[in-house]
Amino acid sequence: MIQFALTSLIFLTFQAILVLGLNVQFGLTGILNLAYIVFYAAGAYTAGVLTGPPPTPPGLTYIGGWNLPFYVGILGAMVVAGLLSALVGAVALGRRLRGSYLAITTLVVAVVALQVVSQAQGLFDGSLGLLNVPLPFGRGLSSDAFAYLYTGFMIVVVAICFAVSARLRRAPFGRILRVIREDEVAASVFGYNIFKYKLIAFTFGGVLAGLAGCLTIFYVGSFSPAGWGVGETLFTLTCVFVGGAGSTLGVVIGASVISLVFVQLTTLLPTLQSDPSLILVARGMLIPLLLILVLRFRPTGLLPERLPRLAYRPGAAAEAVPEEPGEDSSPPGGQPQVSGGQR
Amino acid sequence: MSGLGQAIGYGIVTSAILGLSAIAMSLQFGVTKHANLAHGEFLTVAAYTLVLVQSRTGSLALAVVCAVVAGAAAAWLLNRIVLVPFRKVSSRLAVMLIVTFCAGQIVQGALAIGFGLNYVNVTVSTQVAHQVGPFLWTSLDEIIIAAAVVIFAGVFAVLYLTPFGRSQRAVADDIALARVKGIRADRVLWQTWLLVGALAGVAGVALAVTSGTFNNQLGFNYLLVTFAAVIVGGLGKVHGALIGAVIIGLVTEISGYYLSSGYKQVFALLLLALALILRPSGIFATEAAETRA
Repeated sequence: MIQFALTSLIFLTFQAILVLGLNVQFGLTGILNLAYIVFYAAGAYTAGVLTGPPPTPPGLTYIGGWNLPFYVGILGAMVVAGLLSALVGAVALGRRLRGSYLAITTLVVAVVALQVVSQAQGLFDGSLGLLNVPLPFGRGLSSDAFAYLYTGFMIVVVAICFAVSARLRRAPFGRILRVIREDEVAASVFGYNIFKYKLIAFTFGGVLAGLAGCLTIFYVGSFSPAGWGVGETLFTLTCVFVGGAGSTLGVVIGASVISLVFVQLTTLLPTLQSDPSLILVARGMLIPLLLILVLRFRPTGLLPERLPRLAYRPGAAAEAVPEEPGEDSSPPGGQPQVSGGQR
Repeated sequence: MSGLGQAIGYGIVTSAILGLSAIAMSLQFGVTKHANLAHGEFLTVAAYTLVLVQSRTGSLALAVVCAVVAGAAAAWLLNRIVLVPFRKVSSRLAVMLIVTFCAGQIVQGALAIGFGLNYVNVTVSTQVAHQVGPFLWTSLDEIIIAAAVVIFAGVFAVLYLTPFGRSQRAVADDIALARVKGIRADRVLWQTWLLVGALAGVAGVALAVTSGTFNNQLGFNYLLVTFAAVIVGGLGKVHGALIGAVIIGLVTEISGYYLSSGYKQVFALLLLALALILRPSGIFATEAAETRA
């Protein structure tokens, strides 16, 4: 029982990191990235081949297998996922690929990546995926001790991710992301380089996805294309909307509600059906259905994003001034010299 | 040389089917201004309806009619149940895209529960390929090409010769202006969806009978190829979609002839990627369309 609770909690922490990353991309910046789960997979595979044992060719074929320590795996996963998302973002976030084009481009990335990795036997062992990735924290631990240790470790990691995301959201940088989300033209009129901000947000989200993927494979020990279909992006997006897109605490609550309540409820379904594979199908139907209903009836989610008051308040001006963008990153178009009312 | 001729022949068949799907998507994008990520499911619904009706009644002709009606009904329902309520509460593009994507996933799941995850077969009487000039076609291929040509002509006739077509083009051009001019835009919208669904239904039927076997991913797999055709031709331009379909159809089949046929879809998506990077508004883009998109 305690094992079950810990396992649920650990899987929740993976989902929480994923949701935090997607919230920066979609919730804050408004980038609809249907390939989000690809960066999760990139992190998982990278960590797997960095820390895993060398392949045993007839049965298992993959690149790498360097037996490196697990912190190298974590770093490598974040770097590779970040580079990959910067690459995809550099192509997909250009001025000409807005709206529908961006969604189509990311969908193409998601489908093609899944097909390539499933087909290419030599890359990550095709549709079978990586197996036998060693657990971190030494070999001698009992499974109970490992579960406790990993739970503690994951809680620390989630806390760090949460703190960074929350700080990013409150920072001047996060405010610019929200301006871009609400009105790109207005943001560009103020002289912000929209592409640059979007690319940084996109890459930040990708790094978090990679981290989540890497920590998943360290706990589960295996990873295959079955774990990162397009539906998984939809699952994460549902967590974001249920919790409240744009709200850092909200999306974590959303992830908790969906991962613990909703998924557990759907495991009660099997008794009704005979074909076990159809249960997954049913779950795959309920998530998009839930997402449609949430978007229709409560698009702000359980914990709506709290935005600063729009009206100019004399009392608020004093506290607003120190928050003005201090960084000199805006292009020569000019930093807006507005006090207080800019938000 | 005869091999290349055959490949071009197959390319024409592929273009005909792809053209139907692409024209449908283009018509829809023209009036709604957002991509419909559930487009592929219109094809899948039609294909399953074909198999279902044919197995019950034994009549292929009746099955084809029912399949096209089912495609049209699916499109109408998507608009009525899902999109119309959302259009009232949210004009955000991302929300409309997510909603269509979700709707598509739900339909995929429902079809899997109804028909199982395994491939189902379409029974058509055995076709013997025969030489037509340099091309090698079965009579089924010829029927599909002829039907597609007739339908293309019909769609352009409807668009340019009927009152509905005039209203449809007006709504596609500027919905607010069309409303000011007294056009009942909502009616034009659902009528367009019916036409879109019917065209996609024909494409689904043609796809099912030519491949002979399919599962609930039939339409979703075709979605990206359709996007490729529509975007190469220019999103929202009906004649562009047709030309894009011909380009994609010929390139995929000819590349399949020179390389392994397993690379067909890869080539279609490569063209899509090139189009997205170099010329996202399509090869027929005008400056105005470029800034508007």
